[in-house]
Amino acid sequence: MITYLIRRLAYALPILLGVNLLTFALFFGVSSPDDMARLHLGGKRITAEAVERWKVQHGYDLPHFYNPAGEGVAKVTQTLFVQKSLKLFALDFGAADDGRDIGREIGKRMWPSLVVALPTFVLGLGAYLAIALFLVFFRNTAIDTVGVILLVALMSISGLFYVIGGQVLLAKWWQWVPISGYAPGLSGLHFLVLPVLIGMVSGIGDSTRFYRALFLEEAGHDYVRTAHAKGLSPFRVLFRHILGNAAIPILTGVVVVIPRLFLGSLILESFFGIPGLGSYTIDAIQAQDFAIVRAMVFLGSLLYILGLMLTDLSYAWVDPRVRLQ
Amino acid sequence: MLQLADLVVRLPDGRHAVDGVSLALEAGRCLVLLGESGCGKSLTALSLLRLLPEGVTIAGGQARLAEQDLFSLPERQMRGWRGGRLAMVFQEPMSSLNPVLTIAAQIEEALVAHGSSQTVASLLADVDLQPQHAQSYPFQLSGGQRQRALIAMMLAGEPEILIADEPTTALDVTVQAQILRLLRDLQAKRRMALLLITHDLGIAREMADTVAVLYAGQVVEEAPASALFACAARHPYTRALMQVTPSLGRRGQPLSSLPGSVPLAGAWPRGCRFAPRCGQVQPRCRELAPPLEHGVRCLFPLDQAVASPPSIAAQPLADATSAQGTPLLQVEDLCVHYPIRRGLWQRTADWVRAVDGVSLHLNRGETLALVGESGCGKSSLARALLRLQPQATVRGRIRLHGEEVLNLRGADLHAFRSRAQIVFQDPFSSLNPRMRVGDILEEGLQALRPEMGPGARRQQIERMLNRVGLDASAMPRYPHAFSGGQRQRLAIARALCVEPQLLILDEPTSALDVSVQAQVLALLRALQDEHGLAYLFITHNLPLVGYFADRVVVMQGGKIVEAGATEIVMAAPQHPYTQALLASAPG
Amino acid sequence: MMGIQPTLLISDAVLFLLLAAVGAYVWRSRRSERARATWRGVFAARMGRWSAWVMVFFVSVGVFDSLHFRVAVETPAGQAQQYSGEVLSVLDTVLTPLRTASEKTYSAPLAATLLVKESVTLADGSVARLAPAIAHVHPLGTDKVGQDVLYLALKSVRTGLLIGTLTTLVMLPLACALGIAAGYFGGRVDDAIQYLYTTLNSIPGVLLIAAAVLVVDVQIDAHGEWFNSAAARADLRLLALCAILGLTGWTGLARLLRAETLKLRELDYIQAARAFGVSHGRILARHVLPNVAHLVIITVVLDFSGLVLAEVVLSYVGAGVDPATPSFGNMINAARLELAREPVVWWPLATAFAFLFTLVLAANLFADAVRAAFDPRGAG
Repeated sequence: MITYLIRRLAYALPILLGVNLLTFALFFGVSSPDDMARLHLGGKRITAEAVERWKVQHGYDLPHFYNPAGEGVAKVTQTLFVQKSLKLFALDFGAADDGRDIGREIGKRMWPSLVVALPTFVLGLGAYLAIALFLVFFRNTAIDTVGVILLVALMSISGLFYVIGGQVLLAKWWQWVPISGYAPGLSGLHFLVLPVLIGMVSGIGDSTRFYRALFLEEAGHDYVRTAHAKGLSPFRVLFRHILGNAAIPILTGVVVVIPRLFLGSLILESFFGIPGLGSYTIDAIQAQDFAIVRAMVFLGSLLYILGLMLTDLSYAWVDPRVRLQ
Repeated sequence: MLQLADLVVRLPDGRHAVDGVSLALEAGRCLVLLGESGCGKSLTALSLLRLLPEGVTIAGGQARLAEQDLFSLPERQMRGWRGGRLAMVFQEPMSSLNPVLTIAAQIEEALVAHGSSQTVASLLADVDLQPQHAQSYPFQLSGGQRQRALIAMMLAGEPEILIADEPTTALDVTVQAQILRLLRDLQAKRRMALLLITHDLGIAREMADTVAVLYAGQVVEEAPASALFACAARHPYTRALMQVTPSLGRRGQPLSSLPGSVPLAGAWPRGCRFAPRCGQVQPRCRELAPPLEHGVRCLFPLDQAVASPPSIAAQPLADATSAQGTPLLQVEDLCVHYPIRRGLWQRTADWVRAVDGVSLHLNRGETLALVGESGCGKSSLARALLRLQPQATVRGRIRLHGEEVLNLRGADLHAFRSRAQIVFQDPFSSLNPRMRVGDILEEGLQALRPEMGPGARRQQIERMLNRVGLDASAMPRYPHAFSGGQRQRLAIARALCVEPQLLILDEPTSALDVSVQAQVLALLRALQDEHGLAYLFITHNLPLVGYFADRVVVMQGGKIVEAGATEIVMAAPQHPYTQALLASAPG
Repeated sequence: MMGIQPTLLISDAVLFLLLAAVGAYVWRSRRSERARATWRGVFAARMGRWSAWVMVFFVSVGVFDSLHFRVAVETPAGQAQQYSGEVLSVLDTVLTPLRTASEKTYSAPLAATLLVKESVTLADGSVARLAPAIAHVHPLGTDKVGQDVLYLALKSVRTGLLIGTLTTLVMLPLACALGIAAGYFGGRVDDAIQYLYTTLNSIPGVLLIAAAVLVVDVQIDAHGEWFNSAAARADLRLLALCAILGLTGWTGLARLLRAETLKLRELDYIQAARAFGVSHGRILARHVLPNVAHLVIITVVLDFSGLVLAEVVLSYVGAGVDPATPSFGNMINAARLELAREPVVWWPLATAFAFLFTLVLAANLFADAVRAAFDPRGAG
């Protein structure tokens, strides 16, 4: 077990380094700090001095990998790669273009993200699994056929329409819930209803169909026939045998995303004005703030790798055949 | 006790797979349903439990058990009878058990469902499993143990009728014998009726009180086992089945041939369904469908005592051991080891010794049987001989024609490949489904005989197709258009195209029906005589070895435990493992 | 009679190339009885047939919108003929009444007047507030700047189609080469390819795409001299988006192909080929690729609808196509704020919804029919 964790961590490092190099190449190789500066200063006629000033201000006035002006270690450390890229490993995200510390912002904004994403995830998973089991229970009947067509229709609607439709219908016309906004704690609960609901509904088509296919595949296995031959009720066969075995592939898809819940949803947060990491990211993209985008890319990878490790651990927990070593 | 009458099973496309089958089961007796693949035997069994695959339906008939018709019982009540009054054991013990539940949990569940007073422990004891197996998961058990566990589950509801669908087909011979013995003991102890489904005459002979022979969805003959196996089979099909089964006793004689293969469900000929393959066919047979009368469905049933008993004395095959000079193939101290990687750095911590110091030799024109159970290393050996083992460490010496095979590189290795070829077990996975037969056969020639022009290649392919009993019309077709037996012929033709001297036959007939097996064996024999081919015949089927091989080596755990001339080894085995293998062979 | 000059945008060229490839595939599989039977299976299902017709409609709209030309402008005699800077398509010509019939601002579908009242000086000199009459009838109304909404929606089809198909063109070779190589060769090759796709996968998709689009934007900004027209510039931006989506989106299919190849590699017919000493390249081309082709086709068809929908989200995020390119994403983005107006302007959004929903639903249903026919076991 310990060996496994150590090996897994050793495996994670090159991946994070790869992500790091990729983003570095993208932001400092393909496009240069000069381009960035010009983009931000805007306008057609920009003086070289203005570009230099902007670069100094934001710490982009360094060479890429090697700084001959530095002394000793500084030859290597006083470079863009170390200052802007490698420091991410220490979770030192640096400052955004507006000068604010990105690390502090992330620490502050991840909680609102989680408050929306976690209930969406948990309630959604429950709903999708329940509907999928319901359809599988009635497989080869009209209920299943109609259900599947409905799911296909639901998955053919862009997520944006769910948000717009929900806001217009529930908030504007019927006025059941506020149209947007956020408040921490229990007092803000009514703000959560709409985003959570819409988050759930927008995933319903894809996920439910996926789970239904998983269940159907399990239902075709020989052990299901054995269970029926033992005289078990269809209910028991579905819940204990089919669900029990389908839990394994379901886990792969589900556990891996749990750490990423911290990142929140771009669309939901920006539409509902939730001050989480999703809206932070979207604002950064729209403001072309590369520092924040870089930080979020790194954070996303980190959380994904964490998710992979959690997936393996949960496998070992659910599947008796898996032993980690 | 259970009376099945006129069962008709309909497939989703409307064809009938079972067409009017009637059977009678009696307490404490064993009825064997004997038939080749695709004759409808499994569907008959599943009908009794009403567990047919989706879309397949019971279109007619009755199954009376205790004055109730099983087929008109409400589903809720039927559920109580499933695993209660009737229980069923399946073919694949691995996939038939739930992989994520312990054995105890799966037995317990059946006990609860039927309110049984038995316990998990007592059931495990009944099937000779140890108490500690209760907490095991299926993957931790061997094949035989899994099948025992499955049987224990099915005994939970104290069934009156136990249906076993090819319960030992997926198991090794020695395990098969144990499971069959267990089934027989349980049947006697619990006074159950046993419906055993098999394709294996040996098993039928060993287990049956009564045998019903199924052909093309119908029972063609039903008779007490004692009478049937004392050479009193009256239907030409049953008689033929018995005569095409190879054994030591038939050594040196050609097996009587049963041409063609079992017709597909629904594609049955008019009149007698066996007529196209029947040796005694009369014009009337093709017109009139015969009824089942006096236990036989034939207009011209055979007399009871025509067939002569097979001669028991085994004779050495002609000039089998007379080959002189250096052997074609010499293997010395061959080891095939797979690394096991462990720990932080995934270093090789240990080796799986799949083949561990094997020495053997094979002469031109000779058949050497390599016998062993699953996991004994026989397939690893075969692949190593052909240099198809990139993942493993292969050590020792292999000499073909005096050439060191393990040292061959480049052009020499290429030349070697045309001298040694292989035919695989599964005729379905051995031909690429997306290539035309002509291209499949041409592939080897293109790779190994680049000097041949397209015309010469085509000639060679046609010659080989003709030789295996097919013709040039096969070339533009895809493999799916051919039956299992025809595909195996194609695989043989593919190997022979490059004119090898050594042919490795890796269980070449074990996926085929017995009637087709006889055809393939006859073809292999004839080809060997023509070309002086050397066969390394890998198999687990001992009667087949007795019939076909000149010499035999027995392999266990990567090592050869016994070697010698077939008739000597089969008659007087020295090693305990060989003795056990021979004792376990059914029939 | 004014002359025209055919103009081939890069995306047009790629699209026609793609159509040619599909044509070649159709021609080839006509000869194979098996392929014919499988495709017959697709169209035999009622859903498959209907959705195919809807797709044919959308594809024709997209193709007509890809036949571009520029109109000749009056040129002083003696000079070389000059052409207008505006690039038009055959679809534009067909839709000329819709394209040219613009109003001042919003008008509801089939309305006779504009939505907003204006102060108008009447004939008798008095000033009244009334909605001015419109110049043309618009079946689906007009938007803020008075453009016909139906015309906009039809123009958006091409963008959606291009993103759904050109992305595949970038993604397929990568996914096939890497996925099959990883599965077939195993060992170090497999390790390296797995590392590559785990790394790419680990980056949240939208972020990676957004980051790449940002970088491309910077490049396009810095090199205005590359483009001789606004259309060429928007076109390049669209192509870049497809390339980015393809470069980041190959991992799913590659994984699938790797797993399938791992299974195939052990099959007897590949072992038999190896026993004949057939080269790796030949084994891959003749034994592996044809036996994973169904997975490739299924994935391509399945991915299409997802990509069309992705454009909408990316445009909202600010990492989509050029704001000047007509696209469903841009349409929705512009229209969503209009719901808050009084009176409500609902028709641009409703039109975008109806078009997008029809296109994606048809694509999804078609994909289902394809999957059912090509992989009867895996149909869900």
